[in-house]
Amino acid sequence: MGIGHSARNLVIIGSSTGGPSALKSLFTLTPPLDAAVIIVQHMPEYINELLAADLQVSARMPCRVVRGGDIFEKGRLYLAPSGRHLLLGSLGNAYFSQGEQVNYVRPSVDVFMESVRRSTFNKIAGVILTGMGIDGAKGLGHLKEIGALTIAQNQESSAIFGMPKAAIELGAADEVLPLDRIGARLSDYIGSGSPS
Amino acid sequence: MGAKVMIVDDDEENRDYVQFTLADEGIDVVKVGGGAQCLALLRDGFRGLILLDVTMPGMDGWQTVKAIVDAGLLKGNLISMLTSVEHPPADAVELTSHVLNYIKKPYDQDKFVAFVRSSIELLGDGHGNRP
Repeated sequence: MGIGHSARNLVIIGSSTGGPSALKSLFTLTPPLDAAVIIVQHMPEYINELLAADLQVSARMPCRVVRGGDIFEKGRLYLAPSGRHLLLGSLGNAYFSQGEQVNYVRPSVDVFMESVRRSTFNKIAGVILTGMGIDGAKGLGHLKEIGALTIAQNQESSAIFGMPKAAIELGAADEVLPLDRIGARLSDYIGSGSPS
Repeated sequence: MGAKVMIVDDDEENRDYVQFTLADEGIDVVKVGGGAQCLALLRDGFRGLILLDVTMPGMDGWQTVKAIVDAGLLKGNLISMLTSVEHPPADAVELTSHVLNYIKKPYDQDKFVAFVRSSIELLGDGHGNRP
């Protein structure tokens, strides 16, 4: 475990069925971000390292699976490991919970997003991409309440619209965007240089 | 077993269409007509991308996913539904972590091929080595 310099800006992406393809497309179109990017993708454990390697190529940013105690650094992608809930401590440190599944999944997007505190970061953006069910809707709502930019993927570009739809219906999404515009929006927002 | 793609569909035309589409791209496909045969191939050692129809007699696509998981045969595979059914049933969310994509028919052929290539690349050779 290294002691890193905590990122000022945070991007959190929640995704499920259709996610790996969507993430690859999104990051292929996105310039490296001045933020730590944490991805909570519902997937089997043996896909964790494979997806991290894959996204590192697409995103042109280092990408690895989160380890306990990590301090998230800017310009890096982090993948939540399967089988545990990922949370963010008040000091910006990552830690895990072995609690029950939430919304039939572990890690849950809701659990991670709801653990984020505003005071730790300058700018925060939350994104819900394709997936079944409702995981991430409440989490995105929490991020919106603490002043984050919140985005849901639109129906036309989603493999399954369930998770983005749940977030939209809860009033949690500031913007509903096609997949190929999300990266540019994140880049505009994170790179604007002024606090929200 | 050399093929890295399995199509599971009770409709022979659908199976053949997938095979022909991917053969043009140099990708070998093994074809089976239902969930039971899918499980048999997995027990025989198939590892790769499983394209799974939903509406099939006997064991449907979602039941096949559950059977794969319950039998401990998921590891090393990537499952994508390939179906004309617009929306998954509500209880399919319980299997959400095991199904990495949902492709609706009719699908764009170029995007489909790109997804298959991308999936084969993601899985690599099972030892972390990309093709």
